Amino acid sequence: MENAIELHDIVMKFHMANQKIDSFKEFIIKMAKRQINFADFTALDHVSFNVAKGEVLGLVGLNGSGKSTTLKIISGILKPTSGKVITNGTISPLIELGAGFAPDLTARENVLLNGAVLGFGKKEMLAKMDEIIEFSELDKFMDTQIKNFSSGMLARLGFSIATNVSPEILIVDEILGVGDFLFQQKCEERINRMMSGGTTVVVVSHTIEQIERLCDRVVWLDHGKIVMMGPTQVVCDAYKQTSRTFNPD
Amino acid sequence: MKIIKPVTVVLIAAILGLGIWFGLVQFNLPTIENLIKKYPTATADGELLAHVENGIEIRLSEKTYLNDLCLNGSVKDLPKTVCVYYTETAEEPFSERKRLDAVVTTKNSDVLLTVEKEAVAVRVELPEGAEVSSVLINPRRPHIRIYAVVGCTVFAALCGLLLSFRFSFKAYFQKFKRYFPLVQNLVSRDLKVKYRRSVLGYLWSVLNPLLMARVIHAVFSRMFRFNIPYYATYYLVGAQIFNFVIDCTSTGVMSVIDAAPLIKKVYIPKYIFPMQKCAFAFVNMLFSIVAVLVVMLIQRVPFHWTILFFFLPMLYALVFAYGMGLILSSLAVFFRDTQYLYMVFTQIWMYLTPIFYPEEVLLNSKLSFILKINPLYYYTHMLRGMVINGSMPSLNEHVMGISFAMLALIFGILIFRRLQDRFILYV
Repeated sequence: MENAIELHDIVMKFHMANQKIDSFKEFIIKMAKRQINFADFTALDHVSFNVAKGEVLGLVGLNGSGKSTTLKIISGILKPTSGKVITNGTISPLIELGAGFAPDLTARENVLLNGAVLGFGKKEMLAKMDEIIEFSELDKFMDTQIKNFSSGMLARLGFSIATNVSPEILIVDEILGVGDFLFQQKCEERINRMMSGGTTVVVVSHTIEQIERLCDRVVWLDHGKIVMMGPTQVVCDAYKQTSRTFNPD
Repeated sequence: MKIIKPVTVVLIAAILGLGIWFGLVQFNLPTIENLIKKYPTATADGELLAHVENGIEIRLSEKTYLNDLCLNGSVKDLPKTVCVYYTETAEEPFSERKRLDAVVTTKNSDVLLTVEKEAVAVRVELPEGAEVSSVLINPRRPHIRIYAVVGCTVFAALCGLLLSFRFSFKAYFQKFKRYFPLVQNLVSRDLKVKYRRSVLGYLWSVLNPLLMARVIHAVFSRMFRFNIPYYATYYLVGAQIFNFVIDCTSTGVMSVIDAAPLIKKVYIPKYIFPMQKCAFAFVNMLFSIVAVLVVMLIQRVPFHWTILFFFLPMLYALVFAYGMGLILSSLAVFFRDTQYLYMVFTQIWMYLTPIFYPEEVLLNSKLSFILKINPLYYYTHMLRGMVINGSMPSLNEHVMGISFAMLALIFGILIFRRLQDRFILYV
């Protein structure tokens, strides 16, 4: 089976400058004094895994284990320090909803703008407009400037754009907590439907039940290293076990 | 820096060679010695030179590029410029349409007239009592070869460097096509936001330059009494190009930083952001063309067909500005001072570019070299020539204009590509 995502030996290092330098003067002075030294922080340490087409992969791990960094590397936002990422298909990142919304424009204009941000043209977006409006339940407010929207409304609009552009790869980072519980159910249904429709999904969530419910396979990260990778139930059980030893409650 | 492969070295060498060959051979004009042999010095008793009423006339056997004419004899007290008529065919009479004011320079006892035209016959108006015994015709195109060689080699070398980054143009183009709607969307967003809640809306893009032209005209043509024909048009045309480039670059400086919320969440090719600023400024400039036309109508500037080529200097300026935008925006991510330094720089730049004062002010001063290295001078000069004088830019100006644009673009791409992966960590 063809892979939708392949990560080969990814290393991601961040420079942690002791002091942040952002002026020419500081830079030259520090340079002269040889005070520019970086401490490297390794966020991902030789991580490799593949995601097959149509598979739903979950990433679990404690805070700071490198889950979000992995997602950012898959979606191309970050370039790894070394290693190779191969992706086949259009990606729609649900890392933060409504990236690039312009507060001064109306919701309708923002649908076009956000679509363009995700790499979809005007025609495609106009064709999907009705569906997006319907899903977000915002038909009364489509011609309102979105600076007047509540955060729940924004999230709904963002979610329905990102899922309606029918991406081949969907990247989800803790966003299933959008809106009220009815809308949350609707979101999960939508994601379920997309998964059965052959969309490849990578999910990050701290709600382990959600992962158990959605995923085919799980990767467990800790401090930038893969601890375990395999079928959902096996990995989740092991993960819950260790979490309990860290956190007796 | 990536190690350059032998294949690329060969490629660079080939392109360099081609550039030099193109520069030397294609533009290989006959040397001055050859030409003097071919076109002998026009002497008073020869057939070529004749004294006519209030001046002299020279007739050549074929159309020749006249760089300058060196007059020998008793020619004294010439004004700073003299009137020169020229014809491009032997039959054609001298007319007002083909006339120019040649700049006079005196070297020792020789008097040099700068003509820079192709002509078969020339008539020079001289003050009464001037006797010319001989005229040396200098048909060498000024510095063209050096410009061409420099232009081609720089261009070739940088192309080679660019090629050394192995990237597939097809993949690049596809990605660009995919994200082009984003540029359109962002430009239309900027336009909507810019004129939101203003009564006159887009009309301001036209009104603003019109009012500026009125103010500048009032201040400078009354107070300083610059003797420039169609001063308001002169100012406005120059300001169009200048403001466009400054607009692109000064908004471009912050373009990547301002896009931080976006590029932290979604993958977008980052060169889109300076490009969007340029596109926005370009649209604004197109609006204000209307203002130029209005001023031209008010001042009754005669219509020249050359005005139809207005897009050429604008295009050069666009490429130049985008290159600058790439450089500035990528530097600004690492050093926020870039924006303030650049603001100061634009101020200096404005005074060193003839926008509201005549070009001669700088041309005749010791600072004339500044004009030669100021790309904006070439672009403004080209457009002014087309709009006001009805003259097409010379090959020199094209070569220089394109070279500056390509240099900026190629350096921009090189710097931007090198830095763009680290943007996300600093914005």
